[in-house]
Amino acid sequence: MRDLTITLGHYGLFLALATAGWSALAAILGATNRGKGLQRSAEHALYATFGLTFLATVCLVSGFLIDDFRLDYVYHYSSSSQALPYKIGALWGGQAGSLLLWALFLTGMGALMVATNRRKNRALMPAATAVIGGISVFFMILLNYFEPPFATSAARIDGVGLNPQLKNYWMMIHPPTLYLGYVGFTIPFAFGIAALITRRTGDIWFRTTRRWTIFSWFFLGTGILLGSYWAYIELGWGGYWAWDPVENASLMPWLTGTAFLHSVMIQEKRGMLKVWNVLLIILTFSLSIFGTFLTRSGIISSVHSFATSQIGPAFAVFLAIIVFGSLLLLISRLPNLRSEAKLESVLSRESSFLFNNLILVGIAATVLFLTTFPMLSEAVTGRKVTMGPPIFNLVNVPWAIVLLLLAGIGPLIAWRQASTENLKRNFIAPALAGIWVFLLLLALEPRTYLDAFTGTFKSLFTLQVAPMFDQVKTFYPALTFGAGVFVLATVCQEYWRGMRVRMHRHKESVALAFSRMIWRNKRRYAGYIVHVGIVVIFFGIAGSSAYQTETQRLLEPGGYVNIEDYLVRYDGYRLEAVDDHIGAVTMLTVFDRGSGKELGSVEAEQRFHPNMQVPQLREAFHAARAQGVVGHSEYEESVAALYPLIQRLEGSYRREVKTPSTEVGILASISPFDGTRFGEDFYVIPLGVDPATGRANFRVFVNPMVNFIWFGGLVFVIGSLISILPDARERRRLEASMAIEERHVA
Amino acid sequence: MWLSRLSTAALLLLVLVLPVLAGTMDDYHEAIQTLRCDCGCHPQSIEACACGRADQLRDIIRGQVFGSDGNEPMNAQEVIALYVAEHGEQIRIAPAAAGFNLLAWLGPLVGLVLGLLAAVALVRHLASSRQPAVADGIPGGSAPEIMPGIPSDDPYRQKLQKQLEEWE
Repeated sequence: MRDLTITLGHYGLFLALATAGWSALAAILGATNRGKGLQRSAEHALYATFGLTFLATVCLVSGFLIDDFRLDYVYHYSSSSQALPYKIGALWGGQAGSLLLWALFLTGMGALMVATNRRKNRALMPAATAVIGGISVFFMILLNYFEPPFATSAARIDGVGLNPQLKNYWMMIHPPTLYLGYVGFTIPFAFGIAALITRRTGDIWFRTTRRWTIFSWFFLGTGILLGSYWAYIELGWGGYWAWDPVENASLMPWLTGTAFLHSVMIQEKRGMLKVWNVLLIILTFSLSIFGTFLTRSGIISSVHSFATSQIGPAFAVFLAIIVFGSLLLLISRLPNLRSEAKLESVLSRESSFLFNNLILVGIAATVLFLTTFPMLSEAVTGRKVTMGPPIFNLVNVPWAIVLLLLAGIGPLIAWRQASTENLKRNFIAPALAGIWVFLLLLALEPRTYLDAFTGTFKSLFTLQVAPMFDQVKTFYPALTFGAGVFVLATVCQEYWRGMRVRMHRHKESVALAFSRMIWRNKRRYAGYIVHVGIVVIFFGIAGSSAYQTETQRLLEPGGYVNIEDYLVRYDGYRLEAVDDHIGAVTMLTVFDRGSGKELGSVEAEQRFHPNMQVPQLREAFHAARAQGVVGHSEYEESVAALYPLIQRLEGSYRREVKTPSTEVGILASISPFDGTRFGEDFYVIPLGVDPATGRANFRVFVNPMVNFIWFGGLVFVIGSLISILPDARERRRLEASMAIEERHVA
Repeated sequence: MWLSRLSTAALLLLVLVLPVLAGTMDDYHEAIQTLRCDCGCHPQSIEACACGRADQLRDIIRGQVFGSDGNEPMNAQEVIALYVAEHGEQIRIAPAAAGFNLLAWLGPLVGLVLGLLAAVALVRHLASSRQPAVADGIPGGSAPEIMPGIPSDDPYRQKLQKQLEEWE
C-alpha cells in the first residue's frame, strides 16, 4: 500500500507534466488552421492535469497520515507525535509540498476556467488555455526534476517535525489562502495575454475575469491579514507587520491588483488606460511569481545561496520569460490599445483613479526596491545589509495616508469633469467631518503637536531631513483618523442618498432599502463596504502604532503589578508535556486599576520542543507525556525533570536540543461596553519561566485599537464576498460587450 | 572643613562632567533602535524584538552606554560602531545613509520624483490624445457622452448628471 501511494504520486506528476505540455501545444495548434478541433483536446488535457495533480496531492497527504518516513518530505516536516491537523498542514510546510499545492490550485483553476467558458469566449480561449498549460508545465518540471515531493531514502524511525512556530491553527489556513490569491491572478493574466495575442483588446477579457480578479485579490488580502494575525499571536513581539520579505512578497501583487481593480473601471466607462490595464495585470501576475521566487529560491538569505539553490535559477528564467515575453507582446500590440477618449480635467474621477493607481504602484515599487536592495547591496559591495521596518515606514506611511484620502474622493467625484456643484454637494460635509476630527486630536495634545510643528520647521530650515521626518511622524495618527473619518462620511452619505431614493420611490423601510440597494448594485455598494474595512484597518494600525506601551516585569507567583490602567496578579503556573512540547503555562488575572473590577484571566506559555532525534530526550519526553494528568504530582515532577535533562544534554552535545517558542496570552477588549478600552489588547509574553519556582519574566504590551485591524479585516471580507457574488447587471454588460464584438468581427 | 568643601566641589564636578563623558538615556535608545536583534526572528530592532536574546542585548548595551559593565561609558555612535565592526553592516536595522547604501534611502525619493513626472506626462498625454477610430479595437468605453458641446457647468446638464449618479 505504501509503495503504491509513492508510485502513484510519482507517476501522477510525470503524467501531469505530459498532459500540461499537450494542453499548451494543442491549444496553440488549435488556434491555427492546421489544428482545428484540437482546442477541445487541449481543454480536456487541462482537466486531466488537474486530476493527476490532485491524485499526487492525495498520495503525499496519505504519506503524512501513515507516517511514511521513507519519504524525505514527510521525514523533514512531520513526526509520529505531530497532531493530525499539523500532519495535513505539513503538506505546505516545505518547498516541494508548497509547489505541489501551488500546482494543484493552478490546474484546478485552469479546469474551472475551461468549465465556465465551454460555450463562450471561444476566440480568447485557445490563447488563455495555452498560457495556463505553459505555466502548469513550468510547475510540473519543478515538481518532477527540481523538488520532487516523492523522493525517498532508507526507512527512519521518526521524523524531524514541523517548525514549532508553524504549529498554529492559522497555519492551516494562512498559506493556502495566500496561494489561492497568488495563483488566482493567473486567470486574468491568461485572458489579458489572450486579448493581446488575438488583438481583441476591448473590455471582454477583464469583464470575463472580473470575478476571478476579485476572488484572487480577496484571497491574497485575506491571506495577508491572516498572516498578520498569525504573526501577532504566535511570534510574540507585540506587532503584526515587520516588512519581512515574505510579507512584502504578498503585499506587492495585492497592491498592483488593487490598482488594476480600480483602473479597469476607467476602461469600462471611458475606454481609456488600455495599455495601463494590461500592464497592471502583467505586473500583478509577475509579482505573484516573483513573491514565490523570493521566498522559495533562498535569495533572501544570500545571493550565494540563490546561486547554489536548485529552484532559484529556474524561477529566474521563468520570471524573465513571463516579464519580457509579455512586455514584448504588449509593445507589439500598442496600436490596438489606443485610448478611446481623452482626459477632460484633472478634477475628475479618471484622474483621481489615476493618482490612486500611481500611489499603489509607487508603494509596490518602493517595497520591491527596498526588499531586493540587500541582494543588490551584497552583489555590489559584497556586504549584506538589513532592511528593517523604519526605512519602509518612512516612505510608505505618508503615501498610504494620501491613498486613504483618495478612497474618499475617487468614488464620489464626477466622471469627465467635476463641476463646482458636484464638489460642494459631495465633499463639503465629509471634509468638515475629517477636518474636525483632525483638529480635535490636535487639541487633545496641543503641546506635543506644537512642539512637533515647530520642530519640523526648525529641521527643515537647518536641512536636517531625518529629524524632520521624525517630527512629521507625530502627525500621522491624527492625519489618518482625519482622512479615515472623511472616507467614512463620504460612504455614509452615499448610502444614505441611495437609500433615501429607494425609500421615497419604492416606499421601502430603511433595512429593506439598505439590503436591496446593495443587492441591486453589488459592485458599487460592496466596494464602499471594502473601503470602510480598509479605513477601520487604518484606524487599528494608527492607534496601535502610536499609542502602544511596553513593560517588562519579573514576578513571583502571587505577585501583583500595575501596568497602565490594569492591575495584574500572577496567579501561578503549571508544567505540562503535550503533543510534541513541554510547556510552562503561566496564569494571570487582570483587573481594572481604578475600580479593582476583574476583567478576565490570561494564560501565556513558554514552550520547548525537544529534538526527537536525541534518543534519551525522546524517551524521557514520551514517558512524561504518557502520565499526562495535569495537577498530578508525579506527572509534574517528570515534566520538571525534563528541564535539567535538556540542560545536561545541551552541555554534552554542545548544541541546542530544543526549539523554544511562546504562546502569547491576550486579553482582548472587543465589547463596545469596554469603554475607552474598546479594541485594546492586554498582551503578555513570558520571556522566561523558572520551572522550579515559577518566577517569570513577563513582557507586557498594551495595544490600543489593535483589534480594529481584525474588525476591519472582517468588514473587508464581507464587502469582497458580496462583490464576488454573481451580478445580473455585470452579466448583461458582458453579454452586451460580446454582442458588440461579434458584430464588429463579423 | 576644606576637605568637605573639596569633596563637595569634586562631587559637583563629577555631576557636571559625567553626563558629558557617559552615555545618556538618549544614547541607549538610539543604539537599541538602530541595531538589529541577532535572534534570527523577524528583522526587528533590539528595542522592538520580544525574544529573550533581545532582552540580553538590551542589558549588555545598557551596560556599555552607562559604563556599568566596568568599561568606559560609550555614546550611541560608539556602541553602534562596535557592533558593526563585530557583525558587519547587517547588524543595523536599516543601512547607514552613506556610500552605495545611500541609494536605499534616495532610491524611493528618486522614484517618487520620476513617478510624479510620469504622472504629469501621462495626464498630458491622456488630455491631448485624439479620439481614435473604432477600428482600433473593440470599443471599451460605455459611459455615454452627456450632451456633447454643452458646458459642464450648465444647470440642466448638472441635474441630469446628478440623477444619473444617483441611479448608477
